[in-house]
Amino acid sequence: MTRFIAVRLLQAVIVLWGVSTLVFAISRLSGDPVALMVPQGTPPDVMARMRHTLGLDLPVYEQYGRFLWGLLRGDLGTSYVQDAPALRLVLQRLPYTAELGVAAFGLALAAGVPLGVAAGIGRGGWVDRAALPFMLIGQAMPSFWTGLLLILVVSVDWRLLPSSGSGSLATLILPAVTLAWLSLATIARMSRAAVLEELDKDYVRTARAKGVAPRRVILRHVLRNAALPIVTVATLDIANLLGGVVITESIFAWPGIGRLALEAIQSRDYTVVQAVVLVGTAVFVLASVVTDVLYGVIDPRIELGDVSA
Amino acid sequence: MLVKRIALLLVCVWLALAGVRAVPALTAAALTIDLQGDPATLDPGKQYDTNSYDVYRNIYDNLLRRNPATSAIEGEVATAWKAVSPTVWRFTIRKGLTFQDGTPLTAADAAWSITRILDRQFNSPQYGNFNTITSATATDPQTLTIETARPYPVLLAQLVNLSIVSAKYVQAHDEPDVAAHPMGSGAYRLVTWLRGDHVTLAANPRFWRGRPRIDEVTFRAVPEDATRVADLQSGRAQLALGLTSDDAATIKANPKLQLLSGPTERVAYLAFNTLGDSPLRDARVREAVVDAIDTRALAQSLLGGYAQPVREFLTSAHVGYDKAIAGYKYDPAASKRLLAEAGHAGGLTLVFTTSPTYDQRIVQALQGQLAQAGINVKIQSYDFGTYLQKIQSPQHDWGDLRFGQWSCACLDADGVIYPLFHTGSIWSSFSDPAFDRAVDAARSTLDAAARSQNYAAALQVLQKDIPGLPLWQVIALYGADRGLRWRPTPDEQLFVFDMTLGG
Repeated sequence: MTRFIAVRLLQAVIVLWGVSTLVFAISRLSGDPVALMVPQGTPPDVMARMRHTLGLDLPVYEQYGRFLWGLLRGDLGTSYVQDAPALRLVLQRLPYTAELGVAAFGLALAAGVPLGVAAGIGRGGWVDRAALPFMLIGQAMPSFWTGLLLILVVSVDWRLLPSSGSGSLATLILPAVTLAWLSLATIARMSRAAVLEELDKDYVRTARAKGVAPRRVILRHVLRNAALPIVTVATLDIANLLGGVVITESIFAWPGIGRLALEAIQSRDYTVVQAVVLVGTAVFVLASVVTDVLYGVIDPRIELGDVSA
Repeated sequence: MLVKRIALLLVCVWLALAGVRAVPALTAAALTIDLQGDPATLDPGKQYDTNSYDVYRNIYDNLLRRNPATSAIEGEVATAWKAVSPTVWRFTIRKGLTFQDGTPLTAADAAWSITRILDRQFNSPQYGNFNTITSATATDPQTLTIETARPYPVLLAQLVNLSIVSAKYVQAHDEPDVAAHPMGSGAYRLVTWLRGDHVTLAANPRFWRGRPRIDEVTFRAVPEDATRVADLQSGRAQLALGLTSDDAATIKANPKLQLLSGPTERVAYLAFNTLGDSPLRDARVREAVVDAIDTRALAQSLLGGYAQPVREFLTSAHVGYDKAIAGYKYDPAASKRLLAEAGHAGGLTLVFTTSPTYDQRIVQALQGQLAQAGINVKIQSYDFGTYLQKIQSPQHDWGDLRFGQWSCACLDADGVIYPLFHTGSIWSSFSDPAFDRAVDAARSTLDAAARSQNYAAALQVLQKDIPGLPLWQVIALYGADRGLRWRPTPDEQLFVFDMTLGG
């Protein structure tokens, strides 16, 4: 087990290096940050001087070398726009994204799994028939539309919840629901499919024939076997959540790293973009390692080691 | 069973939350303003973006200010000034001003505020606005002397944007501290700043103009336009910036809200590529293009009337404005005739280079109007950084026409037509020696009459050669609670001191 985790962590480091190089290359291909930082009439010699002070006129391989060296020391550079260490800016706002992400993920699991399971068990019944359009809406409506609709109805018309901002439980609900809806739908559909597949299996027939109570059949037997595909989908969904957080945070003015990334990209703040992508990648890689370990826990037949799960 | 339990739980949660009233109480003491983004820094020397400026302008005083009604330059920290020679200016500093920590504000602080921006190591984005100044010194505690490299007539306009920092405080604290914990002499002081979320300021009871009527103001960063409107409707904010004409109807229909509008010094314009490999090198084609555009219709239908058509690249408030400039008329017949004369009777294709930063409805409406004149317009959109790179390239290979909005925050022709059309400027795809001579002369003298004459000549060149089409003066729209009393100013400064709330 320890060896497995060690290998996965080494792979994680390689992934992080690859991602950071990719972001470095792409952001430098996208254009000049100094042009966006100064008043419109600024003469070109002033801009050239600024570029020099920021180290942007060095040859690319030298900038890359400095970047790697900084990475090894944990120094991801200084934000051009906010004039503060980029990593610190990201870590300051990371807890907000974590709060929103955990709330959305929790909501998606807590509502999606039971909904999917209920739909699968009562296949063709009213739960199944009500759930399907709900799931389809979740997968079809873009989150910025869902978000704006929720603000309009819940905040402006019904006056139930605040329309934007952060700081209390009330402000968390609308963004969490907006962010969770797609994941909820995906997890529900996967749960339904997994349960349906398990229900057909022989052991279920055996358990029922033995006289095991229906609820125990589901919880003790079916769910444990259906857990593997559900966990896989849930983990992949973390990546979707990380992406969806950018739009949701912008709509609801939530001060997380998704909005920070969007603003940094628009203002060409390379260092902050790099820092956000690295932190996001690290989170996702960590989640995958945790999931792989979970596989071994859920299904003892899976041996963690040289063979990938 | 499980499903039923969960459903019951959800209903309980919903009922519990229904008890939470989301509308905060509207007191005269606290104001919430929705900005389009988070301030990048509260150090006035280190930034050039509206969000930062809107906040720190309330914390610091500037050397000069503009009269809210007439836009004339008046004193703020400085009470009087005189150009003792074409390159030396003397300013008298107001007595009795103190910073919020109690230390007095003297000419030395004013001098230091300029000197730090001129320090190239400091890397201030405002360097380009002040680099004509060679030295700023305090010749005595109440007198600031500024020397310029050449006669600089726009100096006063630039000093309207200079915030005065405490020399002692800045020298005693490192940069991140100055940015995060500003020390100003203005009407408000910083209470909390939660980066990305909000900045809260509290009134400075010892402010030299009197105690502010609003005790506390919170600036929130809300990037999405629809959310800002929803915040007004739900009472979460009492003033929202950056609204569009589409929001105007929603605001006006709501009895608890009011729409505030004010003309700004921003001018929307079209610029043509007269130097590159473009059909617009031919002056007749340029004239055909401007004759095909109905500016009034665009302003009325697209922008709901919230745009004031102009005949030149300046508003009437700008120094250098010439009311004798004729402008252009909408004349589709003349347009067709000119196109035929220039050999494009069979039609013409032009490339319209733009970026999503600009209102794409305007770009597409222009495309539609030109199509009616037989000009086929292809729109090429790039993200803003790439767009700037393309149009500023000295190869002049960026396309044929582009849309823009220009403001120099200086209300002076030198800040508008010089960078837009002078030969060699990164924004200019136009070159005319007579124009260059006129604007060069206008910026080298302090004599107002001579400047006027030169600008009149320069504007005539632009009128005749048509390197671009001035469209309209932008009118800024704000949504506010009905209880807010405030008149927006042309320089778009957000002075909470001038606002009252309640009643």
